[in-house]
Amino acid sequence: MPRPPEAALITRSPHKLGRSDFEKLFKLVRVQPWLEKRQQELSDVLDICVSLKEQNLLCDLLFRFTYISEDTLSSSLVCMANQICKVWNCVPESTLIVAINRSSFSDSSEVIAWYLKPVLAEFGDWETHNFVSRMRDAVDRIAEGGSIILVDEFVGSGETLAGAISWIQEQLAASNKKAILYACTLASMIGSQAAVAAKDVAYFSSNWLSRGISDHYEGEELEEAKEHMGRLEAELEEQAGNRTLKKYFFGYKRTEALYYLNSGNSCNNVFPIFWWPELKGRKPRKPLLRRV
Amino acid sequence: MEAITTFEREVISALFSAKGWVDLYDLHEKYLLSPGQLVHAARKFDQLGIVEWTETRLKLSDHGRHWVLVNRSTLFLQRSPRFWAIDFDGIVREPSHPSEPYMPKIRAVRAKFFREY
Repeated sequence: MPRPPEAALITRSPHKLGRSDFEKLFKLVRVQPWLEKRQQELSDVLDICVSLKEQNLLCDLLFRFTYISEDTLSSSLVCMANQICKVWNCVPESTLIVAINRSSFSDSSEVIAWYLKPVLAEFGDWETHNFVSRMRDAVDRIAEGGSIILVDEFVGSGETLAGAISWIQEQLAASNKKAILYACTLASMIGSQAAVAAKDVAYFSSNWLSRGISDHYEGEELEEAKEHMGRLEAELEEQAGNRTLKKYFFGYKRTEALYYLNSGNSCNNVFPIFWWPELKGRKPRKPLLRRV
Repeated sequence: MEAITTFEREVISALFSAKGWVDLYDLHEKYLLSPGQLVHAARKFDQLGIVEWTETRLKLSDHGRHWVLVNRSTLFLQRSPRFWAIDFDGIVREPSHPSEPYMPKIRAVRAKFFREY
């Protein structure tokens, strides 16, 4: 059976909008094309607002969302490869590209390591054994004095990355091995630099992101925006599955991320209003972003 | 030309009928077309070079009017593929040959059939 055109997935409006709301959403969707196919979800999230100011805040945040489309992903991966090969001068003979994954569960860092394969192939004789999907395997495989590039899709507070660096440093010391560590990500919050700086490791990201509210507004406007977001988050159910909302106010560790990788699992650093699965009273909702 | 969807047909039809600019909000009011659908249609027609686009208004250009006439059969006369419909070719079994033995599902036949005939 032929597949329907992609555009057939864009739904009609669930209800008639006022002219100003229509114009606002039209401008927003024009800037953020990924919202085209999420008309119902977009409408639902704006319906949570009780005032125009709250709606304007959400529209403004969505307007400034960093959306990594297929094209942006390709160019970002080239930037990462360029940094690894041309700036850090890492060569395939002594370098491992390692996904920051310490568990046995699948993780987006492995996706980035895999995506880097064809991109790095353009830069030299990189081979399958240069790409490692578990950190624990990297210590055994690294040659003495070699380079370990820790890669990840997104770094929020920098806590996980700093923890990963410490862990691998300890493992190297225990194995009596020496290696140069680097961190390279698709996107990172600017705030994560402080956490990683203490580890004395070169850190690169193709997309540096600032906090959605705290780094954008000032003075009274900032206080107002925080108040509005606080009220919006109070509309969400406090417990969803084994997750407690309190932990994710303004995004995990209050990172205030506005980031989404096309077809990816939304990260918990994003404001929960965009991905939390339930509204107060255990009402399930279809959020703009999906997260497991 | 890429397959056209119902909402794109509604937009192009409205643009062709109008003499000048069309306010996309009117199409939202009339057909409940969402901002997403309207942005998608506007972007598609803009890339095809057949419309002028400013803010939330669209106008079919002279070239666009000609383009619609040239493609009218594809745009308006061909039936769109019914993606939502069940594909009968996949579920209807091949007809049996007349000489092939056939056993009906006895359980599916009502008992009344045997009593009366």
